Amino acid sequence: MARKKKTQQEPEPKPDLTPMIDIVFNLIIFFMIVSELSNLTVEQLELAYASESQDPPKAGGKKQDKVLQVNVMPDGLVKINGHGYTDDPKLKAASKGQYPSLKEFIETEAAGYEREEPDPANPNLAPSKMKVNIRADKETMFKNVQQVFDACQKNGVYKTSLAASKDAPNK
Amino acid sequence: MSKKKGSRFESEEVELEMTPMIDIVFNLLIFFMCATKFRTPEGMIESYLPKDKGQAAGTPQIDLNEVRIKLLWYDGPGGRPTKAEKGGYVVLKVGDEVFNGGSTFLGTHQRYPSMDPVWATLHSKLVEFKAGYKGGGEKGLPVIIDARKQVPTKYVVSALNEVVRAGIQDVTFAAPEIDY
Repeated sequence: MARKKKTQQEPEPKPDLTPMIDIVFNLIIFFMIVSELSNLTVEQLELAYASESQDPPKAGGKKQDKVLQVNVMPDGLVKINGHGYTDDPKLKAASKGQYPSLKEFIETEAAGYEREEPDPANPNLAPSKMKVNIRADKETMFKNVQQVFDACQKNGVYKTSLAASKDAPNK
Repeated sequence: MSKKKGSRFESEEVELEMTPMIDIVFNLLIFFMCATKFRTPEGMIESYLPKDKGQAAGTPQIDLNEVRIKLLWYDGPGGRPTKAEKGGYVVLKVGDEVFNGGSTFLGTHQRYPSMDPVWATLHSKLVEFKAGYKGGGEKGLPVIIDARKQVPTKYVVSALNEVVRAGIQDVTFAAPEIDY
């Protein structure tokens, strides 16, 4: 009963911050998870090991610095930004035309980049400034990587690189 | 009770309750520790495609000094070339020289490219070729990696790795046999 008297005497009650902090932290966690889920440019793949591989360039804000990540899955499907593409007639038939053409995708993608002066030996195709990093699973057949090279070359994209793991696997 | 009553009159300072915050912070810490994927460090090897060569535009110039690293696909040790997608063996061939004939096929040890005897032989050969190169190319010895389409990509990456390790700048990939 003495307690009740006390509250009556105090003029201003202090606001309780704990629930607000709880909610704010929950929101932070929620948005971090959502942003992580939307970042699907890099697929979970097992890359081949290469001792000479270099660090990828630091991602800058400029569009020219961006590198398109092309993931080649073990079954040969090419995944870019979470969407599947293929030019392999077998895979196309098996998926009933579910996946659009890789060549056309690279073509539309390369259209957004500047082009360099064409080489005199090949005046018809101006080399694109677009950069492509091919992340191929180490067990995938080389023809699946070749189809990416092919799609790039046909559209004048020559700045390609192969992703490789930097730490030596256990024996 | 009596103590609290007394303190009310002494000072109006509000003491910050730290315990819930510490709880939350520890929760966050644990959450992020669990959520962080332990990614293996990832690098890249440049594999620029030739920009002066069109698709079947005229006769390509052939440098007689070029080195062609072939990664062939055989049906077994001492076997024949195969088109089967599974169960083949990789045969490393440079010129007419087979690097892993006999019993040492790349199927057995492929994980340490720089330490593996087959890749080490390739590396020393490439260094030798590079030193003996007398062609006029401005980028030095041209090397072509010619892999059959069934070969797993890791061997191609290993071959490219050895070429880069030998300090060769002019690397290209042979075009696929069949157009996609």
